[in-house]
Order: sequence, then structure tokens, then C-alpha cells
Amino acid sequence: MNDAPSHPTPADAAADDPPRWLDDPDNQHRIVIGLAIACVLVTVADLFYAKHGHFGFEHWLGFHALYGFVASVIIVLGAKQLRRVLMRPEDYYDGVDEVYDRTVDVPARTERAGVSRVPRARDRASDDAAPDGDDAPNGGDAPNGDDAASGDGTEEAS
Amino acid sequence: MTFGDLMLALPPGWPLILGGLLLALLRRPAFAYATLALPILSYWHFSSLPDAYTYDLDLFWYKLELIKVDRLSRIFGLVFHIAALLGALFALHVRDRVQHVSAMVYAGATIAATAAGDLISLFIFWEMTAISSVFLIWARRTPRAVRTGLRYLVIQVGSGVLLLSGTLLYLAENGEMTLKAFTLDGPATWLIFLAFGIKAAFPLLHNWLQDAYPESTATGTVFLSGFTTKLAIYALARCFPGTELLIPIGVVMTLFPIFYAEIENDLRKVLAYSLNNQLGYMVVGIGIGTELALNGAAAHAFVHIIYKGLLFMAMGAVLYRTGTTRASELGGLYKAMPWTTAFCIVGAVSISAFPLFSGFVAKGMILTAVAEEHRTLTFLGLLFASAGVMHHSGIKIPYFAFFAHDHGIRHRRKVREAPWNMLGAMALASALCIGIGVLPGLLYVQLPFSLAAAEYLPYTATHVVTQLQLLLLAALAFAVLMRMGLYPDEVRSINVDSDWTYRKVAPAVLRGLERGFMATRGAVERSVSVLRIRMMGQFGHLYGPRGWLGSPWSTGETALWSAILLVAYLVLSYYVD
Repeated sequence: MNDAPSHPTPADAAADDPPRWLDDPDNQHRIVIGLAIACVLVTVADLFYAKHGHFGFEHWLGFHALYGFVASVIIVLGAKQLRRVLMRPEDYYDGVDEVYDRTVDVPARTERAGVSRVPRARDRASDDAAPDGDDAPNGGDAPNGDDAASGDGTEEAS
Repeated sequence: MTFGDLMLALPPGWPLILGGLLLALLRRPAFAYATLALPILSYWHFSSLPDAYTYDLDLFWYKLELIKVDRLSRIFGLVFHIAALLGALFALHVRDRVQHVSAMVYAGATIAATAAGDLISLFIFWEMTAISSVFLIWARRTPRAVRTGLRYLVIQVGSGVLLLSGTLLYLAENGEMTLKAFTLDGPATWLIFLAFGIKAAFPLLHNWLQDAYPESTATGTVFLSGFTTKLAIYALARCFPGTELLIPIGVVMTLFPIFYAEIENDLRKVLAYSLNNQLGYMVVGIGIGTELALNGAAAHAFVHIIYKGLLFMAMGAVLYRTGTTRASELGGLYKAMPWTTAFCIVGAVSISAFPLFSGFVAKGMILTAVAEEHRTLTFLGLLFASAGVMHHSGIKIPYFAFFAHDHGIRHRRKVREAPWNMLGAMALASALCIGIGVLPGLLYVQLPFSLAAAEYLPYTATHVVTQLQLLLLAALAFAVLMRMGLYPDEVRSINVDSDWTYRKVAPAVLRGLERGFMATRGAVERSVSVLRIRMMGQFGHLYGPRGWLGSPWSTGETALWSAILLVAYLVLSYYVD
């Protein structure tokens, strides 16, 4: 189903891809600088109007700005630490689920709808190893049994 | 009975349910287009019901209030109709009839539930939403979706069972079951509260959402995201306004999913966590319970259904075209799907609550209501979560799908722009997001407490500037962390959540118990069989052909023993008398 099993080389990509404004690292840098300038402006804006807050801290200069920045850093770095505890391989639950695989009968329609085959537990190891094994690990070689190619029998309205 | 009477006796949403079932008889493409007509027809019927209308049905000796429409029902009914229409347009190309039928019945049941006047009617539609929606997950037709659907169904139906138990207890205690504001003072109301809590994805009861929604089809998730959880929000607003307990629950709900969303790889799962976080704001609003807060909860539910639907549509379009929504596979898609990218950004900006977008005019209401009650910690918690929303929904979703680094999927899959109907649905949703943001009055006139809504001004200098500070600095933090290489990279992985308890621990415990049971049984069986063999040996020894009891006796011996027995009997009989 995967028409191009090998990853395209950078040369391929360049051939049919005109460079875009965003591809230029200098422009990406400009966006970040622009964002930083906007941040300074909205923070300084606090000096130019009468604040109406319900709490004392809301009246500090740039409270929301500082809070937003600090909160973001805590969220990102905190979440990164959580990965140590929470992160698992994608097939983490598969061992358990195989028990159900044997008891649940998958509707025969799957095949008709275009998913070339529904891999059973015994096929799964090889599917996962495929370079392009898609979304669902057990989705097999059809793009995760998916809508794009077929999964739910979808097709563009003409 | 005239047609007019019939219209007044038909509960809202029923045109969708009945029409949806009739769709099964139509041919394609007629049935796909009929899904567009049904929400419009249903809304025409819904809006034709008079103000504060009720319709009762005597069933045995109970009076069922099948229809009870007030302002709270109206606003939820309106937005559910909008969601049904947007979803139908988005799914217009889908050939799978099951999805169209179940989506229409699901939407209709949700609308009917918002117009239910008593607990039993609510229960009926509550269960109907569970049963109709599971087909949207099963429609993916992978073994994994079948399993996920079963887990989803068990939890959803379980919520219904709790609701029914609570209803019956309440009926036994009070002799009536009208839907009204309850207090948590006994097992009956606690059961009802818990039933609502499961569907509203309270912390630790939440994981069915993140488990099931990303597993549905590209179009199915758009429907799923709109109805079930917001029906629960409606039910909480109807039955438990001002319940203090909802405030801490809501704050926790806004906070913990943002950490998960930050490290999740599947972008539709990121959206599911984000959905959970958004529900938290509404739950806090309901817990505060003032007119402004309840207005805020309803307004937030309204705008949230639209922009969350829009984000799920954008990811659905990506899934449809690329076959995956994993951040680790996507990137660079803006070149192939520019319109989808633009609509996704509108949704992302709306959910982040930028001024002039719909999230801003709704979320601010809840935060103001919290501030007016001087709940400092709640306020700071919600503000913290708002920065988180900017990160995972505002930036992460569009950035990793459409920009970031190109993982090559665009070339491998020859990705094209989404089909016209998907773009149309996204364009409509985007227009609503911007329209409500620019003209909030359109939304405010629909709110349950119209006076409080008229008094609230979203566009004050303080609100606009402080919100921009929060959001822009959060965005700057993203850029800085990204450039410093501190941002968690996209890794093919999953993260364990509370589903770990029933997908990993419970099976392991059961397997352990089974093994223990088998081992015990084996030991018992072994000792029993040893005992049996020994006893057989003993019996054989006694009764066998050569055994002491089994061997034949001579006549003389028998006569002697008989005589002894008779003498003994004679002697005993003297003593007994």
C-alpha cells in the first residue's frame, strides 16, 4: 500500500519543492524577534491605562506576562520530567490486548472496505518493524487502516 | 391530532433520530446530503417550540416530562445543532452508512437529553448517546478500534447504570424525579453526580476520553468531541450549580491534562487532553454558580464545541490525507494543505482565547466570575492552565502538524489539500469562531441569564492587554525553549494514564489471581488424588476378594457370630427396661 517505501532523499524534496519564505532560517529568526518585540510592547502597555483587577497582584507591572512565561517553562520542563515516569513504547498495551484479539471477531467488512488485511497478533511484530508501519501498530500495511486509503470506506465526494 | 400537535409532542432532536434511522434506507449520495438537511429540519422544529414549553407523558403512574425547554436547554440545543450540521458537512464524502446513521442518532439523542424534564427521560437519552456513539469508534474497523470501543461502551453504559440507580433511589425517597438543582446529601444524588462526572471526564474518571476519541475515524471524532462531554456539562449546570466540590475538581481538570498534552505524540490525543482541560473551566464555572459564572460555563461550552470541532476537523483532514496524526511523522504540511493550515490556526487562536476570537469572550467570563468571588488559588490555577492551553492547542497542534520539520510524509503520501466538504465545514466553523469573537453580543443574547450577560463587557483594556501578555509571553517561552533544545521532542510513544489501572494492573492482578487459583487447585487436586489412591488401597484391602471384610465366611463362623449378637441383644434389652 505504501507506494514509496524508502524515505525521499533531500534531493527529491528539493526538486519539486520551491523554497518558501518560512524555509529560510533568517526569516524564522525574524519571527521570533518580532514576537519578542510584541511581548515587550504589551508588557510596557501596562503603564498606559488604568488596570481593573480584583486581586492586588494583578496590578503589578507585567504580572500576566511574567506569570505566562514562568507557567510555560514549568509546564514544558515539568512535562519533560514526567516522561521518565509515564512514557512507554507504542506497543505497551498490545500484550494485554492480544487476549481480546482472540475473543473479538473483527467484522469481515474490513477487507471489503479496502484494508488489504487485518493483521492478527502473530503478524504484528513484522508490521511494527516496517519503516512505515502506520498509525495504529496493528493497522497493518494499509495506512493504519485509515480513512485516507480506505479504512472507513471513505472516498471523496465527486 | 393535527400536525401542529404532533410537532409539539415530538421531543427536540427526534427529527435527527428518526431521520437518521430512515437514512439507512436511502441510496448514496442521497443519504449523505440528507445528513445536511436533518440538523436544519431538527433545528426548525426545536426553535418552533414556545418559550418555557413543557410536554408531559403519563406512563403507568409516573409523569414523564419528555420536553421541558428553558434558556439553558435552548443554548445547548442550538450549539448541538450547529455541531451536527458542521459534522455532517465535514463527513459528507464518507461512504460508510453506519457512520452517518450513528452520528445523526447520536446528535439527536444528545439534543433530546437537553430537553428532558425528568431523570428517567434523561437516562433514556443518556444511554442512547452511549450506544449510538460507539459505532463511530467501531467504524474504523481495526481490531484495536473494536477493543477501544468496547472499553468506551462499558464506561459509558456504566455511567448510565449509575444514573439509573441514583434516579430510582431518588424516586423512592422523594416520590418525584424532576430535573432540578440537587444537593449532595445522600447516596441518590451522589450516584447521579458520579454518573455526570464520568461523562464530564472528572479527574481519574477521564481516561475513556483520551482512549477512545483518537481511535475513531477522521470524521467520527469530530462528532464525538461535540456531544457527550458537553451533555454532561449541561447536566451538571442543570442539577448541581453552585456545588462547591466542583471548583477543586474543575481546577484539577484544567491542570493535569496540560502536562499530558505537552508530551503526547498523537495530535488527536493532544486534542483529547485539551478537551479535558477545557471542560475544567466549565466545571469551575458551574461550581461557582453565580449568574455570571453559569453564563460563562454555557458560553464556554458553546464556543468550545465549535473551535474544538474545528481543531478535530483539521486533524481529521490531516489523518484523511496522510494516514496518521503522529507528530513524529508529520510536519511541513502547510505547503500541501494551506487552507487546512489556516483554519487550524483559527481554531488554535480561538481556543487560546486571543482577543477577537471566540474563546476570549467566553473564558473571560468564567475568570471574572472566579475573581469576583475572590478565589485566589482557583484564579491562579486557571490562569496557569490558560498558558498551558496556548502551548498544547495554540502552538503544538498547528506547529507539529503543518510546520516544524518535515518528516517526509508529504512526499511519501503525495498529500493534497483536504476535499471541498471538509474545507467548507472548517471554513464555517472558523467564521463562527471569528464572528463570535468580534460580535460577542450574538452569543450573549443566547445565554441563560440575559441580564448578567448584558452587563458583562469582554473588551476592556485590562482584559485585552493582560490576556495578550499571558499568551504572547507563553508563545515566547515556547520559542525560547525550542531554540534551546529543551522542548520535549516528538517521540513515537504513548504515556500511561489512569487507563493503566484497568488495561495493565487489573489484567495483571486477574492473571495473578488466576495463576494462584490454578496453583492452589493443582495442589488440592494432587493431595486429593494421593488420598484417593491410598483410600482405595485401604478399601481394597478390607473389601477385596482377599480382604478381611470381603472374603466369604464359613457357615460355622456365621452361626457363632449370630448367636453372640443375639445374646448381646438379649442382655441389653434387660438393661434398657
